[in-house]
Amino acid sequence: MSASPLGPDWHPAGNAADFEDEDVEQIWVGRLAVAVYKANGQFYATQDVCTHEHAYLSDGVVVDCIVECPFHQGRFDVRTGAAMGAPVIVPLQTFPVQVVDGRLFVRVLREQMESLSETMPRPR
Amino acid sequence: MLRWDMAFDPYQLIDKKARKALTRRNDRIGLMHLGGHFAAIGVGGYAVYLTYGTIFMLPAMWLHGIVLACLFAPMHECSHGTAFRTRWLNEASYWLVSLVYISQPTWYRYRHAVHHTYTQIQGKDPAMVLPSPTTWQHYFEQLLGWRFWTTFPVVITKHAMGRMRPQDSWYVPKNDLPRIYNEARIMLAVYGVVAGAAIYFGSIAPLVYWLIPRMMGEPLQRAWRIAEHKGCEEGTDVRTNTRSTKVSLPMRLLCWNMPYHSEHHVLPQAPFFALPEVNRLIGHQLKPMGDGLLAVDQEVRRSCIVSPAQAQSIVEERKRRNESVDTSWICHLD
Repeated sequence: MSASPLGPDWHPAGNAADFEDEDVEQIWVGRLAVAVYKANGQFYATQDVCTHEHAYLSDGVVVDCIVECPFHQGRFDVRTGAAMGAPVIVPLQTFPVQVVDGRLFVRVLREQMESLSETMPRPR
Repeated sequence: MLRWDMAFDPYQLIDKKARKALTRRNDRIGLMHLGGHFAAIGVGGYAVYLTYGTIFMLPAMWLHGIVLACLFAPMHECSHGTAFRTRWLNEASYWLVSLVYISQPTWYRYRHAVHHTYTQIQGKDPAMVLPSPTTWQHYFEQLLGWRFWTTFPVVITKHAMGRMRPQDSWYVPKNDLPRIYNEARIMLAVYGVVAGAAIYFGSIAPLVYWLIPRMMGEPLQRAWRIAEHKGCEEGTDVRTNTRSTKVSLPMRLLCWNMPYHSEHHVLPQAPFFALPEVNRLIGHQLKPMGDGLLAVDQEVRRSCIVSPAQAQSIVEERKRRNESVDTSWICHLD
């Protein structure tokens, strides 16, 4: 995987052209699963594992700027990570995204990677 | 439980591209179905009005009651957030339908989430219908909705008083308890206003057009609920723990396609109108469809009912083996 032009904390997250609108894809940054979204023409990234009962949000549905967990339809705002109500009440960690020459980069700090990945499942 | 710790990952059955297409919601279709359901309630109510005091009043109330009891279907659909694409429309409809059907929206949402996590796990699945061993008494109590009508009023009153039953408190986050308690207060206030108005005006209309028909329609709706899981494997594999059932078009419309229940458990984020397509794609990989409600009910009665003495010995044997047995009847409140 090529190095990021933005610095060591920025991790490659695919090509912008591969995303449709209301789309979500999973990437792995070390042991941390990150969900990368295209919603209303903008790119966003959050932790991929739902804060409710542990399922990948990248398996879920994106409607406008809301991602819905596939397991129990808990809903989060992908722009802020805010939990939108029952059955989810704990917000998601969000990560900045930048597009450079059509390539996406997600900024995940080492400490975020370590603190979040403790609760992460094994990669599929 | 983690989703990927289930006995089988249902996403192996449908690739991501197909899932995305199948999970698109549609306000127009949702409004047509909900409008149709309430129109049917209106027609049923009018039929009761026309037959009032005649011998035809009871059948009219029964048919009207079936449509009322089948409001469980849109209530369930809205709890998943799949009835409409527009969220406020979904939530407003959820409240309206829950009030008429008689169910607490947020509490049901939590209960139902747990049902999808622990489908058919005794002692964990709060919506487990007739956990084995099942006796005739259990069967008829379920069919008549006996537990619902005798327990739900107590539960909602407890909620209104700011108390949660111990057997329910493990799946509701403490932070969200006030919302559930406030919901209960609002619902009881609405029901209180209806009751108060009826008493003030000396009217029995709420009984004749709503509560009694709702109770009369209960058995058919409960029979569908029995057909969804009873007699299926008690485990977390969606291919064996849930049953779809063949059904006539009018009943399918009234149940918002919920007889495609295996398909719903494979892809709970799919809206009701996409379930026949899910069935077309993967139905052959799921438990064979039941051959109609009567056939499934007959199979359940033939193969699952035991005598009270047998039930007692099965329970004791399971306890000896340290297996989970649901004797607390945490279910049947939906």
